[in-house]
Parts: sequence; structure tokens; C-alpha cells
Amino acid sequence: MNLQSKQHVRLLKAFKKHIVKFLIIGGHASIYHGVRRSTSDLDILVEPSRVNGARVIEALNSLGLEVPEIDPKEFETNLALGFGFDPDSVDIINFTPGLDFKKVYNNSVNANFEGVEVQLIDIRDLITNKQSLKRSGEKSLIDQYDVEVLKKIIERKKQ
Amino acid sequence: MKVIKTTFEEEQRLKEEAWLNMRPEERLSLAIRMRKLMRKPGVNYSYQGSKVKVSRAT
Repeated sequence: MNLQSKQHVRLLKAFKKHIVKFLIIGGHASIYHGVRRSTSDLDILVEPSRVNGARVIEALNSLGLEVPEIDPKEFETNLALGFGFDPDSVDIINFTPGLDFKKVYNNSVNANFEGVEVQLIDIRDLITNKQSLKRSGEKSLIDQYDVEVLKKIIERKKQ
Repeated sequence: MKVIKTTFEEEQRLKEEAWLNMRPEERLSLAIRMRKLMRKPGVNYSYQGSKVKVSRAT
């Protein structure tokens, strides 16, 4: 396995090293919980705070990324960062509809992402998020599919 | 090789069952392997020197 195939792992390790408070959401979380589909990027929700923002910037800089001027204080308001090419692209957000970071983080599950211990959104919070996104086009169909399958998985677990 | 008579629906059901019987980490690992297969040869996927795009709330 070459270095290029480990971009996401390097990022997650950098986040851990710089004590970034974050969790995995999106397609990887859907797959983890049981949706049979693929995904082309990594979606990360970070704590919306100034301290955490400074840590995110430090972590990205440590990977050699060109980070534009961002005041860590901006992480207290809605901010989205994106970089890389699919399938190694990454979206980092500090806000997503339907979710409160503190609650979601407390509910999150511990997961092993290629040898890196990370927090991953709980299945119920993932459903809430997918239902609140209200995206259009192809992504809306993916959200609807994810919600339908995730609900079935919860029902299946009850049996 | 043994040929088994099946239907599309039955095959999908079996695949779904097998997928759900896997551990979550195994599913994640398979997804990561699939992502690696999506890479195009000759493309530099490294983050080194890559620009971070920032979107701010309006």
C-alpha cells in the first residue's frame, strides 16, 4: 500500500495528533452502519469552537495543505473546508442540519478506521441528519436510500 | 463448478444478509478498498501542496 492510498488515514492521524474534536459522518458512516453502497469522499464534522478551529488549521498545515487565512474564531460560525480529489477528497464542516455537535459527539460510536480509532456518528443521529439535509438531485436520492436502509437496520436489530 | 438456480431478488437478499452479518469495521474496510480501486492511474492524490477551499456562511 503506497502513501497515496493512505491520505484519509494520514488526515485522521493528524487530527488525533492535534487533538481535534471530530467525528465521521456521511457515506462512510452509512456504510459502517450497514448501507450497501460506495462513497467517494470523507465527511468530517468538527466541534464548532475557536480552540478546535485552531487545532484543525494546525493539523491541515502539518499535512502540507495550503490553508487560506482563516481566523480560528470563524469556526464558531458555519464553515466548510474541502480539499483533495475523489476518491480521496475530504469535506470538513462544523455544522450540519438537524444535529447539535455536543449531543451527536456524546452519542457517537467508537470505530476503527484503517487502524485509527475515531468517533463515528450514531445510526439514529445519521438518520436525523440525512432527513434534515434536504439536498437536491442525485444526493437527495442517496439520502432517501440511506434513511430507508438505516431504518430497516434498526428494525432488524430489534428482532 | 456447481450451477445454482436462483432469482435476482434472492441473490440480492443473500448479498444483503451477508453484508449485514459482517462487522461494521469489515464493511468500512471494504468501502475503503473500493475507494482505492476508484483511483485513476497517473493522478497525484497527495494532499501535499493541495489548496483548501473555504466556504463561509452568508
